Amino acid sequence: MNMREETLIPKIGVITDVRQDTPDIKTFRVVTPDGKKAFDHRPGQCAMLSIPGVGEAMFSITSSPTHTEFMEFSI
Amino acid sequence: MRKCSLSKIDLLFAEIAKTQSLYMPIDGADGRAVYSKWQAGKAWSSALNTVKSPKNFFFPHTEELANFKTAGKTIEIIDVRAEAEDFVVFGVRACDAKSFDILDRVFLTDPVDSFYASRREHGVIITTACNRPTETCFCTTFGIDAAEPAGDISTWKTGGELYLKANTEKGEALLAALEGVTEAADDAAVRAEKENIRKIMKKLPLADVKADAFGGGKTKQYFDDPAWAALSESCLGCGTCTFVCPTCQCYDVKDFNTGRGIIRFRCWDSCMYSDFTLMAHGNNRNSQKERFRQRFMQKLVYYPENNDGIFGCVGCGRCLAKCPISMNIVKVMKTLGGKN
Repeated sequence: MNMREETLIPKIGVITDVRQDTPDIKTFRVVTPDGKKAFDHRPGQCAMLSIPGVGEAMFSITSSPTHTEFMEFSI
Repeated sequence: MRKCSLSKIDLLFAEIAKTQSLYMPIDGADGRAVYSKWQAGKAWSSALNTVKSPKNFFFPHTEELANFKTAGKTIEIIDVRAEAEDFVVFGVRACDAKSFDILDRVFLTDPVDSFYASRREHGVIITTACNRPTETCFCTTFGIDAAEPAGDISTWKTGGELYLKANTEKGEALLAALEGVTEAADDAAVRAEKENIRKIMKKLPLADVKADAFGGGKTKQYFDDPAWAALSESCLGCGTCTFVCPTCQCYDVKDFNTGRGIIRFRCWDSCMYSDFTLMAHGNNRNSQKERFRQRFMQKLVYYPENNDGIFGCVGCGRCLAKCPISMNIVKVMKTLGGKN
């Protein structure tokens, strides 16, 4: 049907790197399936991250907006 | 203006139902009015209003958002959206009609909620003026006129006739299609009925409830009022108020694994529940007092602040009728606002 943009439907992200930063924090580097940064962001903004079957939740985007090739989430 | 004899109203309903689903308040087995699909043989309820509001037509209890299929490390997202089918909701009261405007401001501002938008585009709303408003009604507090309900078509029941007036293009199109089952009418009887309704509204026990003390910019004035403790003391956090309220619109998004795939859906949620918007650090509102306060501040202060002074309540009176511990927005307004 309706190809209206719908923010409630997530887009696919590809995790290209996982870094163990502390015993209980991992940093995930995410790009789109064609290898680009998913969207531009400003410091302090967050993203809804989904795991199918588990659900979605809000996480801070922890990489700097000046990185134009990827986005990172320290969780 | 058009009219249709009430004795022939089934012909009107049948004509509408020829091309689309028609819904209206119909008495259930327990005698209470529920919005149901009309079929020949069913009667339009004479009840003042339904137990639950009609928001379900545009914002259903549960709604499938997308499907997921996973295989190893790959995910497929399946867009399950389908264009809504045309439908008509008949017999909506002025209060509930106003609630759609309030919900529109939430769902239709950028980013547009396409699920809600599709239903709104395909739904035609036919309202009916309230011949006998009752003691729990206070729509006038929020500037709503029970005698002149909004909607695509407004109707009035008086003198054995149903009078119909189109207000929008959608309404005009539908009324034109109903020419065969309606006749031309002047509005004399309607004007008289409006007068009657407005006279009744002025005499209702809640006619003197004013919203002037509330609105945008009043957070500081009311947030720390000591009265919240007593007001919220008996609140069970059952969520009934949010369930029957025409303007409550919070929802939760959840995933359900069927074994053959994953369904992501949304469902109504309630700010009165202790795990509402639970976050990693815990919750931002840990007492029932804070949750109770949040709900009323939202309707009386925050919503008008963000929406050109429009209140988040339509005075339908359902919370007055349904709260198990008899708390309601009128009591909150009188307790807090009376101090002005």
